[in-house]
Amino acid sequence: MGDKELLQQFRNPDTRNYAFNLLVREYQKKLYWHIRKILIDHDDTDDVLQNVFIKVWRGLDNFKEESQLYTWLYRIATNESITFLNQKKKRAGVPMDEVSHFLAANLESDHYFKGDEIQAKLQKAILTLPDKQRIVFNMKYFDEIKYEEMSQILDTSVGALKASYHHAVKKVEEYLKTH
Amino acid sequence: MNPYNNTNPFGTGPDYFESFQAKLGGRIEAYEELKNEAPLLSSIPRYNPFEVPAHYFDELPTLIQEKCAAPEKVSAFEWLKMLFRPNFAVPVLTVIVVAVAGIRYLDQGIQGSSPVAEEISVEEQLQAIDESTIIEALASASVNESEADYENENIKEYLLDNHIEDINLNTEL
Repeated sequence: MGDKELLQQFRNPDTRNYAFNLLVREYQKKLYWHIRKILIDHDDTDDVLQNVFIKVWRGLDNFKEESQLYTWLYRIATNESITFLNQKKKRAGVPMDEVSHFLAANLESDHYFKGDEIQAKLQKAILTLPDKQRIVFNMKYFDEIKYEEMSQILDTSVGALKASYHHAVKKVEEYLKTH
Repeated sequence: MNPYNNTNPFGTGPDYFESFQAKLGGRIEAYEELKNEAPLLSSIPRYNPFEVPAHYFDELPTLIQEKCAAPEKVSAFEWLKMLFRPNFAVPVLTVIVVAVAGIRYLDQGIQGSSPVAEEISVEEQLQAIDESTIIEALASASVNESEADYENENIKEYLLDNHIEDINLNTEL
């Protein structure tokens, strides 16, 4: 079912629940992994993902269709993840510049991380990046999202995203060389 | 006769083959660029090292539907935040100001009426008093005055008899 049809069905009270169920099944994995790469921890990801879909449920009637549905969903997921991360850092009393240690500790204690040593090292390298740059790196390196789509999701110019990714690659490479 | 008509039952998306070369070219270009910029990074296998609990994605849609069906709970903190939002705080403050002003106005109105009430009641009281009572009161007041004069005269005579002059009296006092 295309986005247009999905939205029509959602706006019909008789088929609203059915349409929403379809939407969740369609996008849950993509959004889950996008959030997981930001938050690392499964439980945190689960919390945020549920909040995202509840927000979607409440806000989908007002979705103006100026962008693709997928772009809108990703944007909500990104914003919710960053908000959650900042709140968690604040509660833990972690200074903003020491977040890499904080998240790396989460990585090591995560039961659902099954990577080998080199993967752990790569993830730690990625965690040294500032939050937004980390998101750009993950979206390009792992998800291979086009810069034009990323630009709509993150509300940043294509040029800025290319520069951000370029710098992120350099930093990750430097970390892998020195650790 | 061949029962199978050798047609391909499978299809592709629109313009798939037309765009395939461009897509493939883009991926190869990105790979070569990464290899040049970050050889270590490009040598690491690119896969997802994270896992999810078993049946997580099977159960999630039901869980989310249940949460969406539940009424929205607003925490006490959210209520407090709402009170300070301009679109809520302004009408609330307006109501409070109007209420306080109204109460003060009413209070002043009640207080303002009491001297008039007192005047009326005093006049009424005077009208209620018998004339003979007033005459007696005035007469006793004049008697008292004459008694006071008498006493003053006695004091003067005493002072003169004892040679106490005014100047000394004032000094003593």
